[in-house]
Amino acid sequence: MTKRIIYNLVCGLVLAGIIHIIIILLIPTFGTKDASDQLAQNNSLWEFVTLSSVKASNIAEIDPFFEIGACRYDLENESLLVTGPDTDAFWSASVFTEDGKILYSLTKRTAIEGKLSVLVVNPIQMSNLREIQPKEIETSILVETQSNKGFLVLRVLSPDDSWKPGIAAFLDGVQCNMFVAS
Amino acid sequence: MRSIFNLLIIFLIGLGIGSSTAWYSIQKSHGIGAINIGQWSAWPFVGGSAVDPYTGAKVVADGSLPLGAAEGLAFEAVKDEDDALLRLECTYRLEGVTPPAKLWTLVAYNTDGSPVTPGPGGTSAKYSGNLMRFPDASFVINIGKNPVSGNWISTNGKGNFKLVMRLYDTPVTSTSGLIDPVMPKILQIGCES
Repeated sequence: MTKRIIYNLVCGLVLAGIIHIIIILLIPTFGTKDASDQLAQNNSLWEFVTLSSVKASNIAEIDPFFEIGACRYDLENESLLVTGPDTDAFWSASVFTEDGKILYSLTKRTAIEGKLSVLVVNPIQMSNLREIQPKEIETSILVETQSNKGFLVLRVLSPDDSWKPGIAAFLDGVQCNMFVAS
Repeated sequence: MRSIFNLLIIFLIGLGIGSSTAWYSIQKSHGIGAINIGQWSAWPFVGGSAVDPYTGAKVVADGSLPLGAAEGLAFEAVKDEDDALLRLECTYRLEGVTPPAKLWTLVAYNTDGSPVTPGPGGTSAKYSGNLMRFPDASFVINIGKNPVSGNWISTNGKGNFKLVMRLYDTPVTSTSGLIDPVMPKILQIGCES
C-alpha cells in the first residue's frame, strides 16, 4: 500500500515538473495580455500611435512621467524606418519581437547625433543593404532581426504639463515608414 | 478500477503542483532571474534577447512593457524592510540613495498594474527632477494618505500595492560589474486600523 502511494507520488511529481515547464514555455505564445497582443487589437501595421490615445490599451504599469508611442511592423516585404524630429526631451526606444523579447534598445544619448532614426531589417534585407549602401545606413541605427513581426516602443520623458506641447509635436513628427533600399 | 484511480491521483498531483508552481514562480517578486537589493527586485535580463523563460513568461503574464537594457532598469518592491507586504492603509518612509542614473521615477501601482489613485492634492508618482534632497544627495520620500512636507507620494484606499523605481539611462545595466547598486530602504511608520 505504501509502495503504491510513493509510486503515485513520484509519478505525480514527475508529471508536475513536465506541466510546470510546458506552462512556462507556452505563456509567451498563448498569453493574450501582453503588449504585442494589446497593440495588435488597437492599431494597424506601420501606424505610430501613442498609448494615451489608444483607448482600449490595458498595458500594465505604465510610467506616468513618460508619453509612450508604438508602431507594429512586418518585415515580410519591406524594412522599417522609424524617424523623428529633433527634440529637447529625453527619449528612449526599444525594438520588440512579437513575443515580447527586446532586440535592441537605445536612448537619445546613444543615438546617432541624438536623432531618432532606426532601421529594422531581416537578414535578407541586411544583405541587400550591404550591396546597395543607401544613404540611410549612415544616419540610422541598424537592427537585424530573425523574426519578421514585432513592434517598436518609444518613450518620451514628460515631467510636467509645460512639456506637453513640445512632446506632442515631437510625437506627431515620428514616422514608422516602410523602407526599400534603393 | 484501481488503476484508473491511481492514474487520476497522479494526474491531479501533476496538474495541481505543476500549474501552481508555474504560477508562483512568475508572480513572486524575488523570483527566478531577478537580482535583489534589500526588498527591491529587478530583472536585468528582461531588456535583452537572451531573456530566460521565467522572465519572458512574467512579462507576458504581467502585460507590461519592459525597459530595454540601454533604456534603463526597473526595480520593484512589494514588501517593506520588516518583510510585511506594502499596504495602502499604512504610511512608509523611503530613505537612502539610488544607483547612478540620468533620471528615475518612482510609482505606486495597484496589484493589477494600474497606478494608485492619489488622495486629494497629491500624486502617486515621483520624478527625480523635482525631488528635494539632502546635501549628500540622499533623500526621503514619505508615502501615505496624509500630506507631508518634503517629498510625498499620496496613496488612497485599501489593499496591497507595489512600488516600482525605474532608473533610466543607468550604468547598472552594463555588464562591467563595477557598480554595486544600492537602493533606498522602505520603512513602515504606522498603519491606520
